[in-house]
Amino acid sequence: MTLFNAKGARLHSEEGFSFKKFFQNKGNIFLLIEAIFFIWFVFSFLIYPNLNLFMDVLFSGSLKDNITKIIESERAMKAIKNSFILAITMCVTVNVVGTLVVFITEYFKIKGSKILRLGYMSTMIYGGMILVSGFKFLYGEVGMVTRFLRTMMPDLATNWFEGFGAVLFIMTFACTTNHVVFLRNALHQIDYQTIEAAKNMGAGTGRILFKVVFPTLAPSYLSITILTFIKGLCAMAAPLIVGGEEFQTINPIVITFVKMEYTRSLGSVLSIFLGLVTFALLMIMNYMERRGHYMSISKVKTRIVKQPIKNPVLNVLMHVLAYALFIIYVSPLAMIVLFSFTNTKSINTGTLSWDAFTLDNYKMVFGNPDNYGPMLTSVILGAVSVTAVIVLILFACRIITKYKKSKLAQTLEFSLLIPWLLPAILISVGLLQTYNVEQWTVGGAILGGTVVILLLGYIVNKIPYTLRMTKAAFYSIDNSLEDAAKNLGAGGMYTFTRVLLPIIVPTILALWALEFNGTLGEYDISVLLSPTKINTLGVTIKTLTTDNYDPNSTAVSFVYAVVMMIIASIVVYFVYGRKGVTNYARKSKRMAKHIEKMQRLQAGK
Amino acid sequence: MLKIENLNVHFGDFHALKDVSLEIPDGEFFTLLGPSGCGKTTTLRSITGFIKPSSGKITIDGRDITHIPVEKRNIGMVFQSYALFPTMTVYENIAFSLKVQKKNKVEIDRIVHDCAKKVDLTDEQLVKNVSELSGGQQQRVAIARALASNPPILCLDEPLSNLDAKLRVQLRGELKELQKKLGITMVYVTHDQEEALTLSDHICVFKRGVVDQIGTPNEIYNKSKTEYTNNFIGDVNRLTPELVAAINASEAGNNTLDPQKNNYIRLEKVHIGRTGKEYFTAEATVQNIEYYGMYIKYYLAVGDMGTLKVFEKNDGVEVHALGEKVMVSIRPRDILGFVPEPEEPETQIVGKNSSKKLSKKH
Repeated sequence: MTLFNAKGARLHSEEGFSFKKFFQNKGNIFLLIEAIFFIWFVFSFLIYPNLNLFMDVLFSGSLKDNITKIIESERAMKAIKNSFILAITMCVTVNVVGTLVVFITEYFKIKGSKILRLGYMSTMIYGGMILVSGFKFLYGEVGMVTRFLRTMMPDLATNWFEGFGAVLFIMTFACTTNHVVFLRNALHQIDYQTIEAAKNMGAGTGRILFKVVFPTLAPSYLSITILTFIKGLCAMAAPLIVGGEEFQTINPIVITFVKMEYTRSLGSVLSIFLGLVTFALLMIMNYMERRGHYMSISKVKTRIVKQPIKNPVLNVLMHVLAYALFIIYVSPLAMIVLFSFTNTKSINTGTLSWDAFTLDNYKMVFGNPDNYGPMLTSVILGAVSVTAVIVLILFACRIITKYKKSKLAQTLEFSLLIPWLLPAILISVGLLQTYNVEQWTVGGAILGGTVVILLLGYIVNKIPYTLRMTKAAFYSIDNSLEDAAKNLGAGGMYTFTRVLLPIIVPTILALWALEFNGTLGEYDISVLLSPTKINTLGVTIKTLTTDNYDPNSTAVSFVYAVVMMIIASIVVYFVYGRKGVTNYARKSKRMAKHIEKMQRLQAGK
Repeated sequence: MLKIENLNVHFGDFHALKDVSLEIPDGEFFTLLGPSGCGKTTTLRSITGFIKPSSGKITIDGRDITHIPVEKRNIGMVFQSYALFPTMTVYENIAFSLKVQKKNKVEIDRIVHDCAKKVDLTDEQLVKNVSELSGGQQQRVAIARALASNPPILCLDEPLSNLDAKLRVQLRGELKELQKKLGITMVYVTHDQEEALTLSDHICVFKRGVVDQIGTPNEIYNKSKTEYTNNFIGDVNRLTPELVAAINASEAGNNTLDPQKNNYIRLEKVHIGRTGKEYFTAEATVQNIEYYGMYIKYYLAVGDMGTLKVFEKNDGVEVHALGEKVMVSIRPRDILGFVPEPEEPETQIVGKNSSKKLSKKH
């Protein structure tokens, strides 16, 4: 019996293995229970639903049928085409805007760069549905921008902000977060002495930029471009809200298909298609990353110094551009906050006057259970699912780090990473399809239509990121600490709870906050897996933004947005702020490396 | 008395320790010395119980501890990184083993203060977080923590290797003083020969999983029993066969050297301009000069009989210039000869590396 190889030495010591001894040791029994639990969990919720979906699509005999149907369906083919067009154009636009944003704040000497940076970072606290609804409010039918443009061009249609251009515009500004996080890091990794050396040899600003700086950043650009492509392919909120009839993409179509019985299999096929493309792209990225970054070979690195733009015309242009970008980033957010304090009339006409300001919207939301219900629901669901996933992963991590040489532990780790390779929508479709009927893996219960399946959806999606971050935290702990505890007489559990756990608590808290934040406005999973009686915040905001049946709906969604932005700001400050947890973690170089890689992985989803 | 008998350790196919046997008397400062991968740390970790030997026996005062698990063994250990628990205060670190033993609070408090006193930690330092301490203070906490459970032996795994040069020398002194004061047996692992020579009562030199030589620092340095130890410790000149022949032909040499052996002489035993009946002398040219401050190292070309490195004290008497002709003197009885071992490339590299290290330190 080789349950765990690494433990082998202890399990079958010289006297040979005996079941009696095995079961006399409490730790072993606990381990056995853990192992059985994980085998069940991983199989039932990570492997089986996806496998089931695949098998269903492949072997139901209707695969050919379904593919033909998709090919013949003008709507589906157009969605696929649109998704790719969006993904490809985004690779260009996001890189251009992202590069500008990073270089304006980090490379060139631009006045007010600290304020600018805050503005550019605003997408870290509002994204998805909220961001899109903010843009729609500003550029949509009653939006200030639309009204302003119509004063100059009276022929402009009120729905001018719809279709490909609008989606691309929003997605471009929504997806520069990767640049702000990773490109900025990579830029700071550049050894300033290489720039000085180029100057010393007579190179000008442009030459330095294109011959020294950009080539060094090339690997980062590659990763970011692939992540951007995936984001474009899996776009959901923007096409749903401003795509209009003409510009629908794969993800919204999948949801429409899956929600109807007779097109469900088409939805499955499309989601698998999306899954395969994502998988392939992530594999390419992994391969590229393994080929390595251009690490600085310098032993005495100098911090990068901001470069002045010597050409005065160019300098002015750059400043104008910088502040124009700032306005684009910040205005939707500012408008949401501002108008959340105005009356319905003001909101619905997009006009402002002094007597329009009121706290009524907040009273309306917090005074009525129907209105604060979705918020409460998402807070509770978020807290429960994040806590569950972290507890689960803590146990898994202990097994994985302790028995790292055991095949079973390695398989466990690999299986837990499966959801990372698949889009949330595919996982949700798999869970929905599998657990909408009686299923033997859960003792014949039907999970579909219960809150359990929604929680499972959240949990499964969070597993890979949680695992990698927690593992990184465990790995960053000096091995000799565990040895030292043992040497001082402590047993395994004592060492884990008294020595190791306290060290990773800050990371765990940060992780909890980040993931909780991510769940609040979640849409993709919620829209598919929520039971009819449960309204999550993300889905509610979407409904409020698109189906304007109630004059108060926009006001309510603004209040939601403000509350979520406040929560997100607190989380961002807590995690990334001055004395933030990741700063603490950055002390350990190894962990910092892991964290960055993980952030990149997370960004891919 | 700690006794290791015929200890063997395997890591998969790799035979890390081969029949290692040694005895460490009570109250000794005993050093395990060797290059990385030689088995010194494996030996130490076998003593503390982190590694299970595949055969052999470890006893303390006759009591067999070979199969006692780490957490029951009660052998103190100071780790390379000190491995202080970062989430605990100095006090909590020292009290850790006592809490595991479920001692009562009064007793824990007494022992913690007792141990702190032994290593000169103040009461204010006890309530500090370990990250607020300097490297030297951290070492003292690590020792105090290891002493708390009153172990018969304290194992130290390269505790000075992470520190900068000056602090290393200072802490080396503190460590030695503490060991004498407490009278505890210390088993010390290092790859730094200077550390080993200055600290130890006895040194055990390891060579690829085997004990090469055990002896006092003087025995190890001046009377190396093997070519390996001779080359590993300090810097040496290997005499060319031509030079050996010339020495043998001289009056001072008088055929006392065995040309079949590899003959070595230490740098400080080669002199410039010494005369006397017992010296072999030859004319040499100064080929290269390395200035060390306290010493000057000359590379002397002895005709076509090879090069000799010489350490001369920089005592203000005379500094030789590049290309200058000098008389080099060797006393044949300072030459150590070893029967050639089968050529082992790794040993050679090790010898070279370590000799460089020593010369840099001077």
